[in-house]
Amino acid sequence: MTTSKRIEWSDAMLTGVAEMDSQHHILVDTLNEVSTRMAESSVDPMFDRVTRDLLAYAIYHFDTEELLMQQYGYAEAAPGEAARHLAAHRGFAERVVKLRDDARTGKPGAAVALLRFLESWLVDHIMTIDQLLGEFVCRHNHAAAGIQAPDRNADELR
Amino acid sequence: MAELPIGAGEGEARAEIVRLNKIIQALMNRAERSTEVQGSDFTLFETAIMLEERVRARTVELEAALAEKERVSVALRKSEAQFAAIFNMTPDPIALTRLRDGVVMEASRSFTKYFGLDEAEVVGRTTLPGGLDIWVSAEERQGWRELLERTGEVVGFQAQMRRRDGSQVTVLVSSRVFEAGGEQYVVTDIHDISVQARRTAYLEGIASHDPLTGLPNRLLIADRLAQAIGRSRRSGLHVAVCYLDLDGFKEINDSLGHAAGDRVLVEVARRLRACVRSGDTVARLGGDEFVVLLSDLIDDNECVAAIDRLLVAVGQPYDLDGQARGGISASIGITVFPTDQGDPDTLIRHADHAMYAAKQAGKNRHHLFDTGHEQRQVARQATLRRLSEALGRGEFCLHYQPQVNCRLGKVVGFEALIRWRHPRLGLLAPAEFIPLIEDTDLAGPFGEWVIGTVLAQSDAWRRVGVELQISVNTFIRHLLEVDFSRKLAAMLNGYSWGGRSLLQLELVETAALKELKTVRAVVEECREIGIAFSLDDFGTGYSTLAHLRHLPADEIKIDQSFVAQMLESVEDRVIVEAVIGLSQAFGRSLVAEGAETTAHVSALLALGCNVVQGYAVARPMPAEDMLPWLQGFQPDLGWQPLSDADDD
Repeated sequence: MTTSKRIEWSDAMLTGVAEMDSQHHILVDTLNEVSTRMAESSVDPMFDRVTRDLLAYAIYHFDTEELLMQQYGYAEAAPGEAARHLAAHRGFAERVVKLRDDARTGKPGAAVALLRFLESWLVDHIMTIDQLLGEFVCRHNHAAAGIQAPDRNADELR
Repeated sequence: MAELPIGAGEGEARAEIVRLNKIIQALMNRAERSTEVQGSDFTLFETAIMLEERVRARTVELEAALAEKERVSVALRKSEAQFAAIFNMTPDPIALTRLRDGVVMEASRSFTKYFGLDEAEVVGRTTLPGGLDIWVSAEERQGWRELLERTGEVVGFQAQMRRRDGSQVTVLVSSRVFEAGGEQYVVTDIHDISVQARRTAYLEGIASHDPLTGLPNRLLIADRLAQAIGRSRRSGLHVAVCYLDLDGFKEINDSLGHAAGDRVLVEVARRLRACVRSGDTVARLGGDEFVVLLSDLIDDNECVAAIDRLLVAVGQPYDLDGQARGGISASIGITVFPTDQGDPDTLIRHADHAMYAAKQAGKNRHHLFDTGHEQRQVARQATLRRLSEALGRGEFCLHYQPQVNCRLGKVVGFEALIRWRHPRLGLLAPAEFIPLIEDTDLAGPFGEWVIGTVLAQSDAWRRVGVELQISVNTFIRHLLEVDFSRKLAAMLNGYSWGGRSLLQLELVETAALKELKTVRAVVEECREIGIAFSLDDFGTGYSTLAHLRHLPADEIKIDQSFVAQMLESVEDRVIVEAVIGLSQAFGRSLVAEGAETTAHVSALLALGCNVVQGYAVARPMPAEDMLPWLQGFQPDLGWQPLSDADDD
């Protein structure tokens, strides 16, 4: 079952925040599992495992990101963007639960719907919304580094 | 010391005092630093402090009587004598040099003695290459010099120096710049650490290398890997960590003995080293396990080509006692930084995992570590730990959703629903975290917490006259714990009403099906102590009929997803009808979940299902909201079966 294309991790998905980036591999990994195994005769065990892991991802990863937001004062600096980001996070688990229910009750096309959802999350969230957060965190880190060592690279900063 | 020009004009005398003070200051600073570094220069330090005090006092006197040149000159001579004493008293070699050309102005007796030179050979010559040549490495001298110019002082700079007899020594160089008469000078202390350096080098050599193959060992490879990661961060190039385990090595060891095995290991080490570039590292971790670090890789193809070379090289026959032995190959696990963001130890562990995958896939091959897959396990394990902590910290609470007989307009019970008050993510619904718990060891603790909390709540409500059934979602995993029914009985015995608990355990139909026989046995045990059972999510499984026959459940619950869509979807409506029919046929009571609107309630009533749970009746609410809700409860006038309207 390797006819479907795998999505390879690429630099375009990087946010520059190591912790976020390594956790984002989870989404790409589950996406690839769905895409390579959805053609199998029984998708139930796969679907169960993947959606369970996505629920863990939601608790684990969004906690990491929302902690970063708190630490760096994202909501104060960019209230609209922060609110949009949090709303997207809240919607993720809800959507996964819905897809899990659909599969459980035998609704056709749940695997395809899950695949589409994960693809759109990769493009619209990881490669879009998360990039803004990543830039924000990185900018802060650079600025903080500048304050600690003002004599170094002072020209570059100016 | 050189003669100080005594007897010149007042201004010159003043300048001399200033110069002397600066030298003393420099010497004292050096002594302070030197104490910090070596902890042993107390004599020098104390002398310098004493001297400083004296000079300060002397300076005051001199300034009071500047006209008396005689006194000035006496004072200067005295200070100079003291300075000279310090200069020559310390066991460490000390030199005074001119910054711009490194020419030695003064050298202590210990300096000339240490380097085996005469004072005449030293003073007036430069320490730059081609001069005194005490620095072994011009780069090292340059490094010291740059540091000195940038910061004005250098403390404990480790360097190699050469003595007249050609012997090399390891020293710590501490220097400080001072200015006098418009010229910059450097006072430098040299502290010998040759003995310690030799001992450290020896111990490091033993501690960091494998004696059999001479390759770096686990300690050193972690260090090299840390350096490679640092370079990778700057260059953006990748580092591959390859964990290599020999296939067929045990057979050689067993059949030909350890000496033959050792020869194979030495030969493998040689071949691996021959395959990699000079900047790469080959290490032996022990046994037949090696690590190869490939750094500065542009892409994965470059890595794979190198790995293929390693596999071919290791797979060649080995010459053992004149006989060519084949059958040895390598299984290689690879992980690549920065794709894998682990620290050195983690990267090696990941490569090790991938090596096992290569072994399992049939040996003599490589396997690339899957970061996403690993992160998935990490996320799940971390979330389970988090859930366990959260339970201990009381982050969970129960909400209660009423179940109402809409035909009679009467509340018949509640379902207890767990919520997680996550400190950052807010209030999480059970569907968002229960799937993580249900097949793990946490099922027991969570199940016990829920039942315990419900019993306490039930007790509180009974005290104010509310005696209604409470349903609790139960993990099959918890139910199947050996002493489930005994523990439950013990919990109930804590209450005077324990025998009439009104507790109902809800089992998810599909989960119960997996261990039907055992589940049935426990269910029967629990029914004997007055516990009722309900089959939850009914209709989602496959063998519902067989199921219903074998499980002595009192009630079945129609899954909310069918109810929610029964108005739009004929299929879902048919399933609802079928489940209602089954419940009637088997004589079980029935609850419909997911009734969102009055229209749903009417449709259910029309089909013969009277007990309803859903937003149309009430949302789940905290326990403290329940009594006011019960007091204010009024049946909705719209709760009428669609077809007839003859009921009250």
